[in-house]
Amino acid sequence: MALESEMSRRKIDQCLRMLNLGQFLKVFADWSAIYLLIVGVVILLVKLRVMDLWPGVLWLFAGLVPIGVAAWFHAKRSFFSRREAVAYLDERLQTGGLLMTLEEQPDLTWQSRLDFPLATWRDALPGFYPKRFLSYVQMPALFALAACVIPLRELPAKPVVKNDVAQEATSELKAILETLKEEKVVEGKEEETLNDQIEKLVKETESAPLTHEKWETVEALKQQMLSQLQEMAVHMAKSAAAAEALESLNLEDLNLSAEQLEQLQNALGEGLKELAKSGRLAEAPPSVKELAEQLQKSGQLKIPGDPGKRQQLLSELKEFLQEEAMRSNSVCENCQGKGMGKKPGGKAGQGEGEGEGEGEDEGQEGKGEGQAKGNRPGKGGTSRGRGDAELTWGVENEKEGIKFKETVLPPGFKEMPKEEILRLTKKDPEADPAASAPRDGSRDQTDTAGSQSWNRSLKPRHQQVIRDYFKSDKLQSETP
Amino acid sequence: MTTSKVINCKVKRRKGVAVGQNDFDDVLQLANNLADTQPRRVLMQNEPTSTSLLTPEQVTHARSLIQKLTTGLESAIYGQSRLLELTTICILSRGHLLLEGLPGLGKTELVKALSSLLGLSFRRVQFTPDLLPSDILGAPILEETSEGRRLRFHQGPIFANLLLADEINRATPKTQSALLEAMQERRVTVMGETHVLPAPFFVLATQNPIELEGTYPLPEAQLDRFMFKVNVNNVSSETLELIINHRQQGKTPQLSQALSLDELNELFALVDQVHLPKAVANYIARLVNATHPDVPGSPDFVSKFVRFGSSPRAAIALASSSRASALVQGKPNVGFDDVRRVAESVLSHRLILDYSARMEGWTTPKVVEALLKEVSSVAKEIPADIAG
Repeated sequence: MALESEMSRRKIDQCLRMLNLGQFLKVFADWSAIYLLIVGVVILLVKLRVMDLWPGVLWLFAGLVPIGVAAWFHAKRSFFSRREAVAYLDERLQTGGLLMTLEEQPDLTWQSRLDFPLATWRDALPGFYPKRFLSYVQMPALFALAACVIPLRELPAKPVVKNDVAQEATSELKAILETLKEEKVVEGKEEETLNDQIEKLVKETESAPLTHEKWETVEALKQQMLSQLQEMAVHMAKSAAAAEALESLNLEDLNLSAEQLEQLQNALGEGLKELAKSGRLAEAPPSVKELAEQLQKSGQLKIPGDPGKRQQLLSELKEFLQEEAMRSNSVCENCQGKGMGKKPGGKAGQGEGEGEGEGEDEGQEGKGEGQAKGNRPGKGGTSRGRGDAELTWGVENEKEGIKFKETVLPPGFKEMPKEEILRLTKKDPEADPAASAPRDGSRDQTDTAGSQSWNRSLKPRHQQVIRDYFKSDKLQSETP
Repeated sequence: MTTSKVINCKVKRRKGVAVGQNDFDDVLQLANNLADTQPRRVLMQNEPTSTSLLTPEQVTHARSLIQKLTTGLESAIYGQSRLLELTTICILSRGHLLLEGLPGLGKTELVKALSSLLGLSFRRVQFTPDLLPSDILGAPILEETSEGRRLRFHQGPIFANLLLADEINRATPKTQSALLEAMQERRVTVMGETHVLPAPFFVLATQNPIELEGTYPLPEAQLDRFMFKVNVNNVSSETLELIINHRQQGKTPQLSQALSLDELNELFALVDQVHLPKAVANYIARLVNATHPDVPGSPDFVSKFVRFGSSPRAAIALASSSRASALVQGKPNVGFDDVRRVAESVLSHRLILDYSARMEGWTTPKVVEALLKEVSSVAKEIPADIAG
């Protein structure tokens, strides 16, 4: 009998523990679900924003322990009393209140009525089915775990260039300045001034966009440097022309006035001074070097009186100066190309065929390419192209976000003499008026135009209209 | 918890005053103490035994006595086993019984059979609109004696162990209220003189739910004094066939006394000795408390459909009748199922429904049935994670 009483007591204790466990799980599920959601959000923030805190943030999972302890103490307030556990077990066992009665008032004579087999007790005890707990916790837990699996955000190795137009413009300025230094066109204080201005512009355009004023500054600096290069090229060209003229005078034995002769010699002297200044005389023939040295010493150009020596010197001088002039032109055009010719699309797409050519040959190629582009449908012209052109986008502008603004030229730009010499030729340049002619409808009449019209298919309703129009009886009736 | 508190709470409810939570806490405490106090009190009155549980022998003996009563009733009334069980439970818990049903269903025969089987003094009063309180209670009569004239109280038909109030709703409220004191306190006061009624005293009343013209519905105070209100339903065709075959001219068989007064008192004592576990008392208290729409936590349908809930007297009646029900089932203690068995009969006539309930087809038995489903036997909700 005592054993039976002991059995029921143990089962009641077991039932009470299970019920209280259920109460604890109820509170713990609520709290841990909220906590896991917060942990998931924090992990996400760490992975996206504060990467340095990873993986230390995983210690947040340890917070479930104090949460569990707090939930236990909170759940203790609503724990089942022993009487309630007995009542629950009494209902489950269907003892009709006898278990409750014997718990309150033990009676050995009635105790035998509770002599249930162990399986009955086991069935009556509450089972552990944490469905609610899992349903509450699983989604937040999965969210937190998924947040752990998400890879850390990788910072871009190279900072994003936001202001690439400005940087490109300043880099062009630097390149031109480098060219000027190499050519020794600028030196000393002037070089420092240019360098300071470019560096200041670089700093200002590192983060800020290229404003209208800055763009004007860029253009002014560029123009200033280019004009110096052009000036040097002009000097070289003049000197070469003067050398050629003096040579031709010597060969044809012409007489010039003393003033004209002095002008030619001055022009030649200026060229030699420029060459000496830039150190280009190192590659010059010995006779030219000697002439330059004499010019440096005496300040006057002393051309030998012997016609043979004179002819040889002038011939070498002419060749050397022509080479230098061509080289100066080339450098100048290169710099101009850096400053202006790199704009994609440029005028080439406008059907005028200017292209990006640097020399004459390249200019021709540019023209051909320009013509080809001009004929291509949808690529320029006064309109957006022919009606049958495909609307192709994407090559319109490679630099996204560029807004071409009206730029004000440097003061006095229009009045500045156009000293830019593209090429010195003996003959007049050949011009192709057809290529540079404005595009109109008549120019597009190619061989394929007629075949296209001929092969054009008509819709049935239009066919009938045409048949009606060309009917023979109609023609006869209209014939007077 | 004193009787005055219970009465105070009752008065508040009748006056339409909101009954506070404190009042119901007192009721809960009363119900919790029922298990300890009431058996001890009755035992002190009836037999000087300890408060220990009934022995299996005592329970067996009680069941045999109850079986004799039940057998006698079943020989008189066919096919109404549920009615007979509830009647037996009501008698054993010393409560008054109100039978409601159509004419001819055997209500009066049941009461007459009960009086025959119990061998108690029996009086029948046919309630009519011209019935006066003195016709029931009795009246002082001027008597000529050798010593002169004096008023002598002439006892009315209420001075019996078993009073059959037939068609009680046909009497005027004045006459009906004459029963109030008698039913609750088992005594009658006439012209300042109090006369104790014989013990045991039962009022078994019948009323007809139809032909309501010229009737006076029982006031709530009167209804509350009936422990059970049982609806007598129609019987099946098999039962009708049985009645036709075994009854000549509808006459009931001659019943002999099944229980003596001593045996009946013994049964009363045994009923009082039935153990009421505290968890069950708590269940009764929560069940009665849940009938009140103004109590926090009451079910929605109660708030919506019930105008006034049950009184603390209902809780007392529920506990007493649950004890009797347990003994009828042969148990030394009350279980939750015993409470559920008698809940409808105890609570249904104590609920006053709102008009919206009538509109939506809710009746008091339906409300009680819903309450039994809503109120769990264990006070706390079983956690979902461990529910079996």
